[in-house]
Amino acid sequence: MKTNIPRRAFAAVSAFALGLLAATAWSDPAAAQAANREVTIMGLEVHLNNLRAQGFARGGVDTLADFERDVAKVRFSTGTTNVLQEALQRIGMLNRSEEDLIFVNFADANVRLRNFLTPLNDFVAKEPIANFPQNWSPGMVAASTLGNQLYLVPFRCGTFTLWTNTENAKTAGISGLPKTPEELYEQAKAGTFVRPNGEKVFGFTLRGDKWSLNEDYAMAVRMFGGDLVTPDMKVVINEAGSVKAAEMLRRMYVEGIIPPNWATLDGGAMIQLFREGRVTMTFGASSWGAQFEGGDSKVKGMTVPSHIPLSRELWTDKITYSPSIVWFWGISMFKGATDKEAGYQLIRHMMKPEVQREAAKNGNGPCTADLFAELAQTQPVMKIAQEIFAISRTPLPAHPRMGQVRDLIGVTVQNIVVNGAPAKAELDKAADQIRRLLD
Amino acid sequence: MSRTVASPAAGRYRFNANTWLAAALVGPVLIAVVAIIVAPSIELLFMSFTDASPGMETKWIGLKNYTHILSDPVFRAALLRNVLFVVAVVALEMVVGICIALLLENPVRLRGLWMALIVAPYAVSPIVAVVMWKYMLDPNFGVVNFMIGSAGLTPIAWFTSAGTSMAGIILIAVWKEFSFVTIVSFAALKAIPNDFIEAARIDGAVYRQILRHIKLPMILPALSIVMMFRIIYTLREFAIVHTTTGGGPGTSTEILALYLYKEAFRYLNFGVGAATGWLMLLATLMLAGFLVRRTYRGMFPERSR
Repeated sequence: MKTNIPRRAFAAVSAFALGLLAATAWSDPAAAQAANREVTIMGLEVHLNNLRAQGFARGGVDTLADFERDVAKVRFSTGTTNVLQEALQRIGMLNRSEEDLIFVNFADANVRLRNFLTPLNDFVAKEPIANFPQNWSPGMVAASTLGNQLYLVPFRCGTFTLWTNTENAKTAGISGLPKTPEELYEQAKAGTFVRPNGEKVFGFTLRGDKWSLNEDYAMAVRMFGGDLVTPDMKVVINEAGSVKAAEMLRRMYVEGIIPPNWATLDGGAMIQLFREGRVTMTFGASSWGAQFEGGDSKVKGMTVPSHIPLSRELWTDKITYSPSIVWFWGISMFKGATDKEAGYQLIRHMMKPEVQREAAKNGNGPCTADLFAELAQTQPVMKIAQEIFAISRTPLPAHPRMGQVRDLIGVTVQNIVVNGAPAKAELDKAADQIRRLLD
Repeated sequence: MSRTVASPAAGRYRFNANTWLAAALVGPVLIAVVAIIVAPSIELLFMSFTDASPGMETKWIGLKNYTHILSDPVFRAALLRNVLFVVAVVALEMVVGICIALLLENPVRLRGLWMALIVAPYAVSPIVAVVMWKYMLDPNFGVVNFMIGSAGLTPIAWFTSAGTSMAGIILIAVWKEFSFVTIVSFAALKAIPNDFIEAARIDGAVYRQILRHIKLPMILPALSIVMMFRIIYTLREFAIVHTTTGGGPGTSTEILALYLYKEAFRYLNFGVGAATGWLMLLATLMLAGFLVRRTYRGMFPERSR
C-alpha cells in the first residue's frame, strides 16, 4: 500500500521539528553538548550501584543524572577486581582508548600506574576538587600520589570491624564484646556450639582464601601490636605479634572454632555463613552491614559492629582497640582517555559533597572526614570506621611486587593454620622470601 | 575417478584447478591459525626471554626465566602434582566411562534419556559446574555431606586438607569429563560387527572372554584417541582448581596452569608466565606426538613399520 503525504504538510512538519530541535539547543546549549559527549568509566558492579542507585541501592538517587544533563553521558563497563586489574594494564598501555576513567584498588597503587594513567595535578590546579585533599585521609592521598603526581582520588573507602551475631552470643551465654585477643578467643570458643537440629555454629571466621588472607591476617596480627611489612618496607611478619596471631588462628582451626573449609572461604562465602546465622563473630568490612541486615538475611536485627580487639598491654588512655586495616578504591583517568576534559569533570562531580552524601546513602563507603563525622552521628559502624581511619593504614604498603607478597602471605598462613606447619619457622621463611622480593 | 590434486614431477608440483581450490579453502584457516596462534606464540617466546612486566621497563634476560622456573621448588612440586592429577583423573574417567558405555550397550529401557543425562555434565559450563560442586561439597551446608551423614556414614571434610582438597578436585574433574569417554566408547562398541560376538558365543565364549578378547581390543584405537585428548586437556586443567581451592591449602593443590596464571596475572611476571606457557606447550606437544605415534601404530601396524 502506498501512502501519499501532501508535500506541503510534510514540509511543514519537518520545519516544525527542526525548529523545535534548534530551539531546544538554543535554550539549553549544555544539554545539546551533553547529548554529544560520553564518558566511559570502568568499575565494579558495586561502584555502579553506588553511583546509579541500582541493584541493592535501588530506590536511591542517581548521582550522575545532573552530570549527564549538563556535561556528558556516562557509560559504565563493569567487571570483577581481576578484570579491572587486567583492563588497567591492557587499556592503560594504549595511547587512545574509548574508556576514559577506571576505578583502581589501593593494592594496585604503585609505580606501575605512571605508565597507565593521566596525572591529575594540572586539572586540579585549574579547577580544584571540592575540599581536596584536606578533607581526605592523608594516608590515602599519599597512597594515591606517585612522584608528586596525583593519579587517584579515593571514592569508595572502608575499614574492617568485628561483627557479632547477638542471638548466637546470647545462646552461648556470652556477655559483652571482646576487648582483647584473649577475650576474642574465649568468646569465640564459647560461641561455637551445635544447635538441637544438628547445625553447627562456628565461633569465629575471617577470610581464608589466599588472595584475601593478607588483609585478614594483617587485622589478626595488629591485634597483638604486630604488622606484616611496615610503611618504610621493613619486613616484620616473623615478629612476636605475627607469631601469636598465627598460633591463635591455628588453635581456633584445630578446635573447630573456625570453619573446616576456611582455606576456601572468600568474602562472599563468609558473608553467606554469617547471614545464615552459622557464625557468632566475624571480621568484616564496615560496609557489610547492609548485607547482614538486608535481603533474605536470617540475622536481621541481630548484628552488632565493634572494634577489633587489642592486647591489653598496648592500650593507651585514648586507644583501646586495634588499628585494623583501611582500604579504598580511587577513581583515575586512563593515559589514552578520549575525552579527558569531560572525564575530569566527572571526577570533580563525583567528589562534590552532595554527590558523596547520596552515594553513601546508596551504600558507598565514604572517604571524606566531613561525611564520616555526619554519618557517625546516626550509624554506630561509621563511628567505629571514623575512629579507625584516624589511626589505621592499608594492610601492606605499595610496591610493584606486592602481588607476589600477598600470595606468599596467603600460602604461609594457610600452611600454618590448615597444614599445621610450625608458625615461627614458616614465618621466618616467608620473611626471607618477602625481603628478597622487595629488594 | 582419478583426478590428481598435485603431483610431484621432477621435484616440482604442477598446479591445477583443484590445487587452487584446495589452497583457497585451506588458506583462510591457515591465515587464522598463523594470526591467532603462531604469531602470538612467537611473541610469547620472545617475551619469555625478557623480564616483561606491565608498566615496567623490559630487559632481555636470556634463559633466566627458564632456569628460574626449572629450579623453583614450587614449579617442580606443581609439575609432579600435575602428573599425578592427570594419571588419577584420566584413569578414573576411562574406567567409569567405559563401564557406563558397556552398561548402555545392552538393551536398557530409556537409553536415550540415560545418554542425555550422562552427557549433561559435559554440556555444562565449567565454571557453573565447579561453583555448583563447591557448594555441594561444602562441609558446612553441602548436600553431599548431608547425604553421607543421612546414610549413617561419617561426613568427609572436603577442602580442609591437602588430601580432601585434591580428592574433591579429582571428583569434579572426573564427573565433568567422563561422558566424553562414554560417548566415544559407546559408539565404538556399537561399531563392532555382531558376527564376531555371535561366532565367539557359538565357540562357547562367556561375557568376560568376549569383553577381553573381542570388545576391548576392537575399541582400543578409539580409546587411545580419547585418552590422548583427555591427557592433553587434563594437563592444562585450570578452572576447577582456581575456583575451588585456588591451589591451597598452602600450595597443596597447585598445578601447572595455576602456577602460570599466578606468575603472569597475579605477580605480573609476564616473562616467567610466558616461559611457563612454552614449557607446558613443549611438554604437551611431546606427549601428544608420542601418543599419536603409538595410536597410529596400534591402528595401522602395517603402515608404521
